[in-house]
Amino acid sequence: MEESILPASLKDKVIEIGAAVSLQDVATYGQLQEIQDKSFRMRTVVNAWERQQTSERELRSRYAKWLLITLSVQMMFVNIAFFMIGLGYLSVEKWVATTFIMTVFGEVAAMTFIVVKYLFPEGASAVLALIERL
Amino acid sequence: MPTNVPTPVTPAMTRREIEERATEILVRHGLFTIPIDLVTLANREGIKIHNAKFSEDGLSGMVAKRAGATTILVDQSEPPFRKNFTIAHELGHLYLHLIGDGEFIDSMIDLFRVETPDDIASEHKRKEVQANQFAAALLMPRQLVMETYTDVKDIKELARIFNVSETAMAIRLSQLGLA
Repeated sequence: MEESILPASLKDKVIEIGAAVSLQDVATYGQLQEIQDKSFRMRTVVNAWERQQTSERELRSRYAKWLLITLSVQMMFVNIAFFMIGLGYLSVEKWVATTFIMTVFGEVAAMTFIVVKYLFPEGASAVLALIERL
Repeated sequence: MPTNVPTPVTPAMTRREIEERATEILVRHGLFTIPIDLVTLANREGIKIHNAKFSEDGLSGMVAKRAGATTILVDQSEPPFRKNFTIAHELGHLYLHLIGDGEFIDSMIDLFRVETPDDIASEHKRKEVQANQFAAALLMPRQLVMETYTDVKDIKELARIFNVSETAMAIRLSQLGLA
């Protein structure tokens, strides 16, 4: 390529002349800047995700706590009612007692389902996909 | 090493004169900003810079000037900041030593050559030292280093800002009495 402008005395020193040196070839600064920018974006996303996760975990924890308290109170109430009916302190129709107890246990099962399904969702695949795009 | 094409005896330029020469060139081309863009400088001067594969191990770069056409070749396998310094070194030979036609072939040793008392007697060593001083002044101008150093003291960060190796920056800071 440029061998024609090389003096004869230099030709034996050169095996091959490659492409012209571009700014990118010597731009360590630019390359570092790019890596740092990418790293900064990544850290920003991960930090935001971490804060969001912590916040959501605390919220879920509060929900779960109050749900458990509510369910415990309800279960206790059902058990008391059960024993009161059994001991004759409370008199209700058999179908009412059966329906009441079955309803409460159905409610407990539904609550458990809700807790498992919505309070503990699947992994953060969306965030991982975002990180991959970065 | 300079080849058999005769070149004038190296004038005894002081470090300050070399610094001023490098700064004058950068200012003239409007490139007195960091990081110093040597590729643009060379393009504006009509100098061709190419990557090359050399036949001898240890060769880092060479500059050849023939009938006004100048070509600089740098070892294609060198990392970016080393290429940058090699280009600056070859530009040093061009601006300081290649008055007429001629060429310089530089090895790694030449690029790391610093001034010692022995160099006074050696024309070749003196030229290499001067080319290194010019390269340092070109890539890390005194004024810009001083200004940047007031805010940034970390050598690693300064090297990144000026697009040079940490070694080159450490030597420069030492020369400027900053470290």
